[in-house]
Amino acid sequence: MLVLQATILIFVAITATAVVFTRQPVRQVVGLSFYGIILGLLFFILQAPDVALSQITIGAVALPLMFMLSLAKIRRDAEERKRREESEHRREAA
Amino acid sequence: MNAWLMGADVLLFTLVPCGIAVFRGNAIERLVALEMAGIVQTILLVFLAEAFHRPSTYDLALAMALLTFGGGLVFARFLERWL
Amino acid sequence: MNRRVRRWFFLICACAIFGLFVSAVRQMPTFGHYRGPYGDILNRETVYERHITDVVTAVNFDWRGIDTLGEESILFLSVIGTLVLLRKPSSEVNDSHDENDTADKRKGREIPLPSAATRVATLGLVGPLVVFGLYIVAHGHLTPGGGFQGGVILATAPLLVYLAGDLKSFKRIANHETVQIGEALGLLGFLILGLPGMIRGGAYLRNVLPLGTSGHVFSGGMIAPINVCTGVAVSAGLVAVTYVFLEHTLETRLRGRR
Repeated sequence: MLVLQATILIFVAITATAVVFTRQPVRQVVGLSFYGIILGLLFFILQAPDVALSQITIGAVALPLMFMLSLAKIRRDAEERKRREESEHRREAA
Repeated sequence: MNAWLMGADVLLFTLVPCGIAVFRGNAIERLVALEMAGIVQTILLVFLAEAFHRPSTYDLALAMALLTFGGGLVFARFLERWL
Repeated sequence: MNRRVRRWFFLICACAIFGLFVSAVRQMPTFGHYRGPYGDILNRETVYERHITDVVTAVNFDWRGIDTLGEESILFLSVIGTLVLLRKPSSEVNDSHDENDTADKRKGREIPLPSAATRVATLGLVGPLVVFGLYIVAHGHLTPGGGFQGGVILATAPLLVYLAGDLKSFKRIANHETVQIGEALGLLGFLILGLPGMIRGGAYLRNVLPLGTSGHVFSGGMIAPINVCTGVAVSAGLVAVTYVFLEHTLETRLRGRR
């Protein structure tokens, strides 16, 4: 039991640090999902099944979907802005 | 200390290679590693529920089993199309 | 402030915070030992007084029911806030169900249709997910789970329909008006369920229903109905937020074409 608790606590510490040091947002979301898996196990091992169930249900589909939608929108806005700037630039040159 | 707890202990360490791949590989490798971690977690939850002698907590493993496919699909869909 | 000063500033602050942290950790109760009477009292009394086997649900929906009502309102308000922030100006409403707009085709990013295997596997999971979500909501007072967790699982089912590549069906299932009404009705139900206790001369959210036999589905009095209301509110709120996010992302895509 003690081994299990110690191991999972160390895992949480390492994974959280790794998520923070991931710089690219899409990769960070994958890392965050993995962190959610580890965190759900931590809650369950510390005898909190209710909290673990919340973490599992939220972290599985809803959380990555929200992040991915936001990232898709941000990327699209950036592309659109770039295109508009380019066309303005061309008009000025002409 | 029963056999299920020892099994869970051993199984916990199979998450290490998954973790390494999640943070080090390319996009596809990361996704596969994440899915693998989801499967390992499902089995771990079964082991732990058995080890703690609380049959009602099998719900967690069932939830994970049903939801992990959808989670993988989210990444697959967005990685292939928008990002 | 140059780099060197900044680093010294950081180091001094970090040392101070580390000292405070260590002194705080030293005064914590030892790992795994619970100090204080309330948890032990609850563990002893819940099954006897409320006929409920899941103590966490009893704490959430009975002993600290008002707190949960507050959390529920926070969720409701944040959903409303998101809907208001991401609302569409009426001039830009379009009813396109097509994700595959020309802006994507031009860049060689056309969308492959999901394969038949993906569609069958995903849509086949929708039914079991709905049943499982309803089970988690209905058995909140017996097993881990409850209105929140069950509501999230229920909200995942329509999301799977979208992920299977069927945006049209998703928009039909997650009809925006219906979902918003569901969100409001969930919170309203919670609020109204608190009133009978007051009418009978007790406190708000006091139990008025028979308690039943502990371990059965119909036990625990008011907790099961409140759980159902929470489940409706949570699932509707999550679907509404996802719908708006989706609409917004797709809408920008369509606007980029002009």
